[in-house]
Amino acid sequence: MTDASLSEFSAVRAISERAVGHQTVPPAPESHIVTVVADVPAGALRRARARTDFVVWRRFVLPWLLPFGLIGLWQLLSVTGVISTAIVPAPSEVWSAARQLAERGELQWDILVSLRRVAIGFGAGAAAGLLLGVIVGLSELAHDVVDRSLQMVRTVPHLALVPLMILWFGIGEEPRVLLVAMGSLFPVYINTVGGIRNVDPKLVELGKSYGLGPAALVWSIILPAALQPILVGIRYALGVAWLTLVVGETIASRDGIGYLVQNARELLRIDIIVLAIVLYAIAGWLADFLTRLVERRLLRWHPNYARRVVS
Amino acid sequence: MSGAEVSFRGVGKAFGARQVLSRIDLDIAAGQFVSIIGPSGVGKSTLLRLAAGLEGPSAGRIELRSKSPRPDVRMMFQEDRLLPWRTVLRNVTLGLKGREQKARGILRAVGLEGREHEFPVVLSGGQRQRVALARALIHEPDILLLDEPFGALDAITRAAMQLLLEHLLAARPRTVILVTHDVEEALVLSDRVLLMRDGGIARDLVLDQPRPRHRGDPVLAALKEELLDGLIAAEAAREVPAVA
Repeated sequence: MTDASLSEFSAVRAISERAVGHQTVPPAPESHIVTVVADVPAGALRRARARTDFVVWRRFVLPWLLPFGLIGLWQLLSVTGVISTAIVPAPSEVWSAARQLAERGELQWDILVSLRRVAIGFGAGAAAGLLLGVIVGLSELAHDVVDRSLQMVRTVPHLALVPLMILWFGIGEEPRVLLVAMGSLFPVYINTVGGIRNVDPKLVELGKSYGLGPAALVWSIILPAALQPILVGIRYALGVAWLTLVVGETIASRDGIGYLVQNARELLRIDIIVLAIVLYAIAGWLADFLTRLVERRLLRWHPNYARRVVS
Repeated sequence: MSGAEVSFRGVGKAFGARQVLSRIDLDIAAGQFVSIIGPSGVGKSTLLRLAAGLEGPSAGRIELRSKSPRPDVRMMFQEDRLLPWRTVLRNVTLGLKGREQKARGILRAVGLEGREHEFPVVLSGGQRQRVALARALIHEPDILLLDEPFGALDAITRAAMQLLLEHLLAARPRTVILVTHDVEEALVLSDRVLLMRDGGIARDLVLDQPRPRHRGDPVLAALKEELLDGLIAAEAAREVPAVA
């Protein structure tokens, strides 16, 4: 096709396209999403600013109102003596406990140790789950060989292995990291297999008829098509990873947030116990937030993800 | 390049016990535009998929001959089959390395200039089919196979797409096989119309009316009546339970 004939023709197309009326409105940039404002020319700037303020309010303030409000209420009830601080410490006490621990460097160390365990365990488990899932999803043979066994192992609650792990590995790093990895593996595995199995065969056929080899087919068509369920699996696995870590660290350890809790229980420091719970909550939210960011980036082509307000 | 010859020799296709096509003999000249019409389920799409090599024949032989050693065949489906996670441009360059410049040129030709970096989800049905058309044309195929590509579009968009296809083919002729339900579409676009009936070709009609053709042309109108009668007869024949 010559360029001349192309451009000559494009003019014709451009006109008839408009006549036909199929001009789609370009997708609104993210910041335009949450507001619908009548389009009056005057005062556009002010409106734009109001809109930005609204987005900031909606995204960064509104979701935090409830948690901070509850903390405020809690403090109030503690101070007025409605809640006995012997049962539940006031937020201010938790805060000062955190500061004390931080001054001695204990808090940072324990957080770091726990984060490291989750990172290694989850990383290894999710990677193994993804790899196994891709292989089993793509190959009938691998499915027949591996899937039954994996499904059987999956139904065993991995926390039931804690005593065994302690016997085998003592209370070093290995049992906890291994448990976290086991907990993370299956959600990723199951969702990857399911996602790959559900890829539209028409798209696969299209890829083949456009000359994609097996590797390109997997990379360009099958994985992107299965991405949504895979990411769901990863998010879920992150939750399980934290849960496993809590249990693992509570049962046997010398450091980490779980150890902090155990130690605090022996010393009857309820404030530190509550602090640890808050730390877990923050860590969980952070992990979820990060996966959502990844999701939004990778699934930006998807209408359900492209425009959602991040929490 | 002006397309490739296609020949079917005693081609049959069965899916399990169901014989979809039997003893098809068909020669399509290089550069010819052939439309296939017929009731649903007579094997129109199967014929196309055989030509595309997406299925193998159960009997007989299919040959594609062109000047190039391996004729390039591209198929366009009723659904656009765009990859939603790729931008318009990257959908067009699927399976190619680089070639962005050429892709931009072809997108301009199908009237989608400036939409290169959008995702398919924001496009209308007609625009999506244009991307699919661009994706097929960037390979400069010897044979273009169209499986009711405009079937799901509204009447006005369909007419615009037919016009577009005609223009693009005038600039660069190639062999085209179009499966359609729309008799008028077949008559306006093709050099030859095949009416299929029960796994075989019932009518083979050659059209030599000059182009561009007008839908109101009395000759075409008469042919349309005739083909519609043929279609109704073919449909009626199918309603009689087949005795294997």
